[in-house]
Amino acid sequence: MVEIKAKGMHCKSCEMLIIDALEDAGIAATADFKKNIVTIDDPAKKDQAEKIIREEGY
Amino acid sequence: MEETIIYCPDIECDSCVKLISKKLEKTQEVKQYEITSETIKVQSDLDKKNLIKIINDLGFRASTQPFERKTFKERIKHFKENKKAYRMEIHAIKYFFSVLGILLLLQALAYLGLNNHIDMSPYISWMIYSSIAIAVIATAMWHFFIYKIRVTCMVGMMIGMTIGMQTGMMIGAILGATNGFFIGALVGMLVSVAVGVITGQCCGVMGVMEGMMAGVMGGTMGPMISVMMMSDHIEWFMPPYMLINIIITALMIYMVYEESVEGKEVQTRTPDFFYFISLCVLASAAITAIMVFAPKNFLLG
Repeated sequence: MVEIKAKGMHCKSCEMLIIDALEDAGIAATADFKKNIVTIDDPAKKDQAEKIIREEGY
Repeated sequence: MEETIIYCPDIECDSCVKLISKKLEKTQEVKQYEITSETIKVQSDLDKKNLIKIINDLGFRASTQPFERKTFKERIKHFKENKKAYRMEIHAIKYFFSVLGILLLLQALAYLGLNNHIDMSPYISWMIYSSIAIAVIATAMWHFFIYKIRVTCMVGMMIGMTIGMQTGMMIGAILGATNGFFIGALVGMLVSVAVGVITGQCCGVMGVMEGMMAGVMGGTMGPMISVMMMSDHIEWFMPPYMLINIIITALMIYMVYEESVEGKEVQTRTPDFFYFISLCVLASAAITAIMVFAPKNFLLG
């Protein structure tokens, strides 16, 4: 498991958008908008996950 | 293919719109859609029930009928006919009266115990008010935290602000009357900011800020009121003042139910009365100790 800092999340919808985008790319994830953290299961996919999160606008 | 209008009152930001859009785009049967601030117009081969389920699964309320708030009369009728839907609210009422009874009993014991050493007569009414305040605030917090709910930013901010503010207005006013402005404002502000942060964090930094601001305002305003009233019939002012604060807090419980629970499939946590009463007793003991032992201003001390 690896944590990624994601600024700009402000509600549950933001969390779900990120989780959804990551799941579409085959990355299992959880997100916490209060802590500005996205947690992914596979550390090897950290770079790919960061790119997806940025593309989502965070 | 038919056009369906789905009413969805919880859409409040671009992320909500994006989330719903993404879901609808992924649903093959949906041919076209348009999202506005409260409605989703969908052209699809799906029936209304399935469309509503898609939106509900994202955590939003959805219906083919506009969400109209019930009047108090309708609410009372609904309550009488659907008591199961108000299970946690009934619990909250029971918890409020139980905790109030226990706190008053403990305050009476504290009064009798301490009265041999210190003249406790100036504190009687304030001890009663503090029990009421703690029971009201704790019940409101309990009611909010017992539901595993997704709140909109607006509702989250209202929750943080209301509980933070009411805590300061009540606890601050009580300590302002017994100890003066410094202790009343200091303790009232710190307690209500903490309460505002705890409850406001449900919607992130916006709720935390709102809770803190309300805590500062309520915590300083409460003692200001009681200190200013000190020489002008405070004993007549306090009952309606407390009553209004209790009504505001009760309305907040009502709002949480109406905005975030009603019409949704909401999970609840298991009520734990022992934990609830323990926190209330600790808070009550701390407030009473501050009232009796903390420094007082030159007019009171």
